[in-house]
Amino acid sequence: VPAGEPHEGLSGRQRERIEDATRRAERASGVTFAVWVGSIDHDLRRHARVLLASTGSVDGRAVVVAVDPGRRALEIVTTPAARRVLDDRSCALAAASMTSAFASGDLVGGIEQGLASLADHARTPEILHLDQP
Amino acid sequence: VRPVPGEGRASPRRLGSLGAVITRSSRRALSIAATAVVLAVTATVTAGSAAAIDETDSTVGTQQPSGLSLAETLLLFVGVPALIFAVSAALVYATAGKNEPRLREGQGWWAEPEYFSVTGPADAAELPAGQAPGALTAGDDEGGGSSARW
Repeated sequence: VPAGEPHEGLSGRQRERIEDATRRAERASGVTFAVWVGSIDHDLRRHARVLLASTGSVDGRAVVVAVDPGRRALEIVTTPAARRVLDDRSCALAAASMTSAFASGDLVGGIEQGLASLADHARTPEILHLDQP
Repeated sequence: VRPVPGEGRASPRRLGSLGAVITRSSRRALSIAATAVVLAVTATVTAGSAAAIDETDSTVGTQQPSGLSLAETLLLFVGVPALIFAVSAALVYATAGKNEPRLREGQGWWAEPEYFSVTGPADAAELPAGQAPGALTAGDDEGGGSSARW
């Protein structure tokens, strides 16, 4: 049961921080990153998939991080091409670090940490005939 | 101090550990004696000099201390602590003002959805779930990711 006043949303400074983190992650990894923060009544994962399909990624490598602060839910979705460099285990690791920051009330810090973690793992170079069958 | 063999543990060489005990207690006795001598000398010297001052200078002890006025006392013992308190409180509040609002436990979120993407269209946030083109949901089985709640 939500208690007290609802959160007034992100401040301008917080928006800047998320934008910076997104840009940094993209530059470091070459993967297109997008972050969605909001409340949704429907399935968050499906919504994240829809957003993923709409990202303008050139080579099809895209990751969407969707956060619903009201329902305390987080989704990280990757395209098939992005999954080759960013497996589900890395996503789960990033999700764990994000939720631990979220639980302490640090929404933007968690998003920054998660994006940095995802970009770090996505940077691993592909090895021909080992990573790809 | 040279290391003493067998000190602090049960050694098969009993003579060695006995010797260690003897040296340790003698060292302790020596230090106690030295401290006593230093204390005695200090007491004697200070008492002697105090007596000498008493004999030569008759003004010692006769002058009344000037003391602090009420205003000075208040300034020193109330004003200075109050100033220190005010400065630290001001510093705390000045730095706390920069803190961004935190998402507290059980707090709801009613703000408009926001979408952050360098390349993607910003209006994608308005895409209602369930109205995606069929081609977009085709990749559901192949894509990866992770879910979490907190």
